Amino acid sequence: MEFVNLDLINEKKINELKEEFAKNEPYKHLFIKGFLDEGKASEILRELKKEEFEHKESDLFSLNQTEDFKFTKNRILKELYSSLKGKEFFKWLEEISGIKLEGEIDVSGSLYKNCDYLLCHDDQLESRKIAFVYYLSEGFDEKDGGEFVMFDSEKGKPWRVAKKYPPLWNSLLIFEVSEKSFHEVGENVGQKDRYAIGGWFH
Amino acid sequence: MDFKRFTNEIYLDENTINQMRESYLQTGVIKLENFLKPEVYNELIKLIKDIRGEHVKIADRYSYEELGDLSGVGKLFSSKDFLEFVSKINGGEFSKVEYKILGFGHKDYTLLHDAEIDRKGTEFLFFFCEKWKDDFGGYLVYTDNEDKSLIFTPAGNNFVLINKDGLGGFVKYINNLAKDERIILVWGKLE
Repeated sequence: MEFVNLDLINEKKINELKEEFAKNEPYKHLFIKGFLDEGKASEILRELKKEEFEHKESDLFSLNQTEDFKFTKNRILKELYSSLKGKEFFKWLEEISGIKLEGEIDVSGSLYKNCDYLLCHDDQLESRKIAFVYYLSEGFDEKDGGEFVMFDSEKGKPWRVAKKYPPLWNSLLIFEVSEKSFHEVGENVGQKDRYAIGGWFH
Repeated sequence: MDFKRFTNEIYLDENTINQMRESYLQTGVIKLENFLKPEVYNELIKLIKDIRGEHVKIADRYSYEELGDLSGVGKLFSSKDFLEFVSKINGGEFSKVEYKILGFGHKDYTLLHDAEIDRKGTEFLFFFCEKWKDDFGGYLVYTDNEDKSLIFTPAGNNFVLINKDGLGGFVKYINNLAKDERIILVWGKLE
């Protein structure tokens, strides 16, 4: 856990995060600013930019993605992968979310350039329990797009936009994967590259 | 609207129809450029390009404008003469047509659901648009979600007939490069 901002792992803070995760709408989630030490965040971004990104297109998305960090040869990203997969981090996540996890994780890097987007879906697949996105985008503001959009749902269908989070530098978004977890990533309409690391805890 | 009077004469010629049928039966798809007489198409697009409908969105399914019958354009593609024309290309009779006339601009799309791939049938497309470019998105993709994809880029006055067995169609998300440009799409099903 040495990679996480120390302010996030004391008992009082854990209790606050736990309460916030449970009560946040439209589905259980947390948006944590300043997730890692600043120096560490910059180092990770620097290394992520060295990875190979593959452009992917479908009806649902246009984006660029690395392969799973399980296969990365980059020392810094390997370390991040091991830390996220470590027992301590899983324990911290289980405490905050109240969700029992099996110890598996999928992690990859993403890059949304101008015109890239991810349309509305719920992330439900196999054993995914908690989804996460760690933002490494620099200087994004509202006019650039690339925001994370959460939808209210009714009768299993996304109904209207409930909440938006900008891709804020060094922040972590986690949410419970369920039949309600409809979300999308708004199109990057600016010229800045939107880097993030994301995946699922099983 | 009179289908025979408005349609490019080349496509009504019996020899051309025989050739189109042969090609369609082999490939399951046919694309006809300058489908309507140019003067008819130019007059129509002037008439309809600023018509706005109700914008509808179900985020995990579609986002577009519903344009109803669009000043009688729908009648052209539901007329007896149109059904007779597509039946000749298909080599078997269609008795029923259903269509939607939809407007697509920046941020609009449709998403593909697996059930759509399983549904058999014949569909047609007709585009109204002006300065459209491939990198705006907005193109029609028919795919089996594995290795087969047919892509139709919007081009004004283009008509497409497609046997969609094993394929599902979607309209690719339109990105900010499109600015204020729009596509008007007549998207129909034939039975």
